Amino acid sequence: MNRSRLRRPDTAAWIVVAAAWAVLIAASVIPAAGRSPTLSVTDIVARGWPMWVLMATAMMTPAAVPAARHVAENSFRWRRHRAVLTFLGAYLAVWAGVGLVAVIALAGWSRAAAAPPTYRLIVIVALALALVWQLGSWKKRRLAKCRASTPLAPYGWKAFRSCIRFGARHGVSCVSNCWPLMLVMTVTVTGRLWWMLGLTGVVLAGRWVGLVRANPGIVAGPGIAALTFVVLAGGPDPSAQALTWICTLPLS
Amino acid sequence: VVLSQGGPDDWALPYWNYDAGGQSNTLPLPFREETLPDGRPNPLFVGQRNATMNNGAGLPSTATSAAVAMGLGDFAPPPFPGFGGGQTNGPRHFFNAFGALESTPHNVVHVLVGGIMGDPNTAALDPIFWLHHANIDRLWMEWNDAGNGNPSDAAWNDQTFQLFDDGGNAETRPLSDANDPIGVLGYRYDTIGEEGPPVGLESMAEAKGEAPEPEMVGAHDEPVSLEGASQSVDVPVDSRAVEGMLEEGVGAEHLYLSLEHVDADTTPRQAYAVYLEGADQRRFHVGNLALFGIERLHEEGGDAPHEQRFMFDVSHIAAELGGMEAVQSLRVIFEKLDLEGGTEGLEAVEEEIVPIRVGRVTFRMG
Repeated sequence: MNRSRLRRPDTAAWIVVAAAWAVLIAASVIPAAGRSPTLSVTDIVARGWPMWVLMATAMMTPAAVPAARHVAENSFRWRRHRAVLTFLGAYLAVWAGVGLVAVIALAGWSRAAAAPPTYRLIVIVALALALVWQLGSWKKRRLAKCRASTPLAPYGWKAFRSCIRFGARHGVSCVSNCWPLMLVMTVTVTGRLWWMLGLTGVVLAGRWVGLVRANPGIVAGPGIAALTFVVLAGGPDPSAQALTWICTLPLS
Repeated sequence: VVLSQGGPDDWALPYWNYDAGGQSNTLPLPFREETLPDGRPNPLFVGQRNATMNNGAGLPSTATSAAVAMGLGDFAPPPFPGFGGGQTNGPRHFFNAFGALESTPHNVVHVLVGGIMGDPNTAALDPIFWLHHANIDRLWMEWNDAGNGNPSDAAWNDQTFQLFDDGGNAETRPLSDANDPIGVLGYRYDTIGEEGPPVGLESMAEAKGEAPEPEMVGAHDEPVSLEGASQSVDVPVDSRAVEGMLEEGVGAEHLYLSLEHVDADTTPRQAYAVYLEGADQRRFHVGNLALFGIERLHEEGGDAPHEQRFMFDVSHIAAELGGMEAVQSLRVIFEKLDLEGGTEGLEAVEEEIVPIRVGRVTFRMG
């Protein structure tokens, strides 16, 4: 193992991030299958959930990189990558669980609602929620929870179990902290790759930029700009109905 | 302020050099007398201290010696042990950036004097606080005088503090003033030469950037709860990890003992000396564990819901034991720091013990 690899003990986490983004970008250039009004809720979930998990992996794994690095630095070198992947598995399993609930709820709603609200209105509500969350003191409190760690056992089954426990705990903290951003991603229909990039930037700034770490409300500025854009310009397809992305594969 | 209140013209804030031998490790007598010679209450006496300290108990030499801190050449070389500690002007992801001088003697003296000195919110109400901090300041100046520099980072030098002058007016001072106490602040300690420390010395903390974390090469896999007089844990060294580091040959010059996930519900009144013991049962003191102000980490808006870490450079001990290749297991011993004497005429009081939790004990190389 060479020194440069040791200097980046979070390599495994970045590989997972890169793989998720590669799949999402590749999927975005494949023509969408189009919305089928005859799809059942089960079909919609079967199609939408994997995409949601992929999206959460691409967007929320960067948020867990400091914790993944912590896991790597607190594991013996010969089980470092195993430990990081175990941690990430548990962390993403929490997000996947949240995604399953969200996609089922949205699929059910999109099928049941006689006249779903317009795309523009839903995005505005989700963004406004995200902004209020970002500016509030509760966001700072939740962010502090994301810096909690637990002792990791060095060997064997105990080591595996402690990585799972830390991953799950970090996942729950992260969900309680970043859920508004994923809500925005869940309800946006058009230009989703750009939304993902922008919101991932917010997540990264909250983890890596000291000023934003101390004052998470700072990233509310770009959020307000995005909201203003959506309200004034109406987005590329203001007539699109909400929630249709989960009826189409791949990204619309 | 003292002069404006009618103090003598040559008045200067004294320092409590508890490491000077003899009776220096006891509270100075003027702080222990309940009344003045004329019978009035002594304003320097505080009843809310550890009763044995007020009764003439001495601090143990392991608590008063600043030798470990003074032997470190860098102010803030994260994540390694440093004289002053790492950058803390923003939330940290995990663990902390304690400085060696802050740990010993600063924190441990606060805890052992006890009472209002044992709580950062009230410590300055005990007059001995000022003499304790003057001593910490003197040790810092001596460290500078030995040719060690303060951080060059703007985050350090531009940090400001609001103080008050003798008229009660607020006065804002930058931390950079402390780089030249004689020239800018106009005071000097009697242990420092007339010229004082060279001005403008800078540690290279900024240029070095964030160094890689020392690599874990040994770990104890059960948490430890410190409540009693003594406790020990055997920490096996992982030969695969050590061999890998040594084969690589880069950055394996130092061995560190790391006490991780250290926490307690409130500031414990007890502090512990930490020793290492090799297979030949030779014992080496490596530092102390005193959790002054630990409860503030749990306060609303506190930086650290995560626990604290204490890291000690034990390379010299590994060398004594035959080098890192020869070390297969080391015993880490925690011994409660007991005050010396001071119990005469006092009734034994059973103190409430707040357990100190140590989540993990590891060895690291880097």
